Amino acid sequence: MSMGAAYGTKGSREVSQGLLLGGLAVLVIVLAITSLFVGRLGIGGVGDLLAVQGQDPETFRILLIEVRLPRTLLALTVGATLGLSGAVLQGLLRNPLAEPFILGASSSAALGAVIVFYFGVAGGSAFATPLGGVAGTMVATAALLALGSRAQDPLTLILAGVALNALAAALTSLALNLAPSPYAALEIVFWILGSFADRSLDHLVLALPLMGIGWVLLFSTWRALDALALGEDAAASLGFNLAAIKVRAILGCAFAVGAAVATTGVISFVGLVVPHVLRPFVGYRPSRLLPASLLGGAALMLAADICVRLIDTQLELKIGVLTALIGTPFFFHLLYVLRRSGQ
Amino acid sequence: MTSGAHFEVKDLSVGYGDTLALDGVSMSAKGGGLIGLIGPNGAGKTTLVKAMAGLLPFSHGSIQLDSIPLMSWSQSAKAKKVGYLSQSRTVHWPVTVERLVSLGRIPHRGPWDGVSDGDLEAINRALDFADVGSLRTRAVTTLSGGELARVLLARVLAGEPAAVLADEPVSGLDPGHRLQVLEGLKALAESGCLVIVVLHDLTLASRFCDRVILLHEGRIEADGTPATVLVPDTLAKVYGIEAVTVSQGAERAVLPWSHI
Repeated sequence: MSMGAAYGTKGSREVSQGLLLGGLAVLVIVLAITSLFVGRLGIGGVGDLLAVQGQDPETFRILLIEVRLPRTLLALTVGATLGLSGAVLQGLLRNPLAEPFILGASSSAALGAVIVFYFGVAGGSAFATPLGGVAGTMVATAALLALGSRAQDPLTLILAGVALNALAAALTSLALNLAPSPYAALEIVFWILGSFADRSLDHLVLALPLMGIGWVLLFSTWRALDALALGEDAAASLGFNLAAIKVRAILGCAFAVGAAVATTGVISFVGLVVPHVLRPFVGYRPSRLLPASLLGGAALMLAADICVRLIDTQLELKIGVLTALIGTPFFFHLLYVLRRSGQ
Repeated sequence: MTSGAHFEVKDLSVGYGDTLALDGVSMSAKGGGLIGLIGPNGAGKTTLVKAMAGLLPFSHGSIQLDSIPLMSWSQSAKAKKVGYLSQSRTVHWPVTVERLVSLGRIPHRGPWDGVSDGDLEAINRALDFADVGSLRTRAVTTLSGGELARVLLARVLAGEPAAVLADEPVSGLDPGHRLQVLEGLKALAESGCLVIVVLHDLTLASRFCDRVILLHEGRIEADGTPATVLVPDTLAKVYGIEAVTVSQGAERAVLPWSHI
């Protein structure tokens, strides 16, 4: 018994799929609407916004459509991407610690984007930066699967992630050293911290098709993930082509996470926390966890982005900092539970 | 269970790196009697059943299933035909017993199909066969090793395959459940299903199997009825043991007695 022991047997908290997904969808809609009406710089709640609308409809339009809406939609789609890819990676690798940040996929995406952005690869096409992120994630995920998909001990894979994170950090530092612009270092550091602020609809238009391709590929693995609970041999004997499933998962993560990170920077632990919290509600079935984690990731990200705007700090708190602060203790807790159960 | 699977293995060699795990193995197997695959550790038993299940590439030789090369079968058709029980008993998530067993129906269901009445009947038959019906709502994490072994066997049988390749299905079971599982597998084999079980227990092999195939260092050392295979010279050569034969009515069983 591998991961199972880590979850204990606290009784079933399973709820019907319709109720769970419906509830999460309502939560996402409520948070998305709330997110449109929360802000800083003196324009905060609904009352302020309506006042602006009365006095200056054009400012209201710009504020809502060009400032708030992209931010809300990016938080929603990036959160969904991180939740979904965490659920797929955990199912594929049968490892509750797997997620894009811990496994180094996010920092590799950041490295890919940094290289493209600061060294003008691909002739400055607007798609170049997200595609750099895609390439970075693809290399990292493929390396991880090659290194750790057969590892019996879940921590082996995490060590592979640590190595990839270290490598990506070292190469990003090298890129900073060599970057032609003197401001590059500050820009890169701030960008890597992760944020939805100051993103436009153009950013969303660039990232969304790539994330969409990623989602389709990630969802296409759903059935095999259930069979993989029995291990790779048993899953293959049930008729699944595991090589094809792994390729789809790698490409899916690459497109979705690569595009997300290239747009918003590194946002950690969402892919860890969301599937873990939702797993008991789907009866621990990896396939059912995918749509729930998609919606759960969107909800968590929207809520976190509302929080960073409400917390009164001189400079707006970066969302990646907030998720890291919440996610790290959670990660420690999971590690502790796994160690205690003899992993 | 459906019947009609027929395996034909010819001159099969399988290697892991420079090590040859199977070296020119040829055998033919069809339903009608329980076939035991025995041999010391590292003899190639698991490699042979994995190759027959289509899970291992092989460097030389051929495997035919119902006169069609194994590699020409579609993965879904092969999954319906051949059930494979892995030696590993790791289940990675604490799903319920019933859900785990229902995974065996995957080859029979389209991606968007719900669980049909036919699926439910097959699942219930498999749960009863393995004597785990009373555990159906339990999380697999709460089961004992023996209970889990029987649940995993039920998962294979839920697919109602024409051939069952079971790698050590009774290791870790108490004597009562060992006998129960082997009696069930023998009945299954006698109903026409091809059943090959990897066994370490020579007593059980001699007592239940209609045919035993003895592997030694990647080759078939002997193949026939237990009375012709489990003879002193062969046991001494392959296992380095002396055994005694006990009789109960018309039946006989081999009991490993001392190391030579």
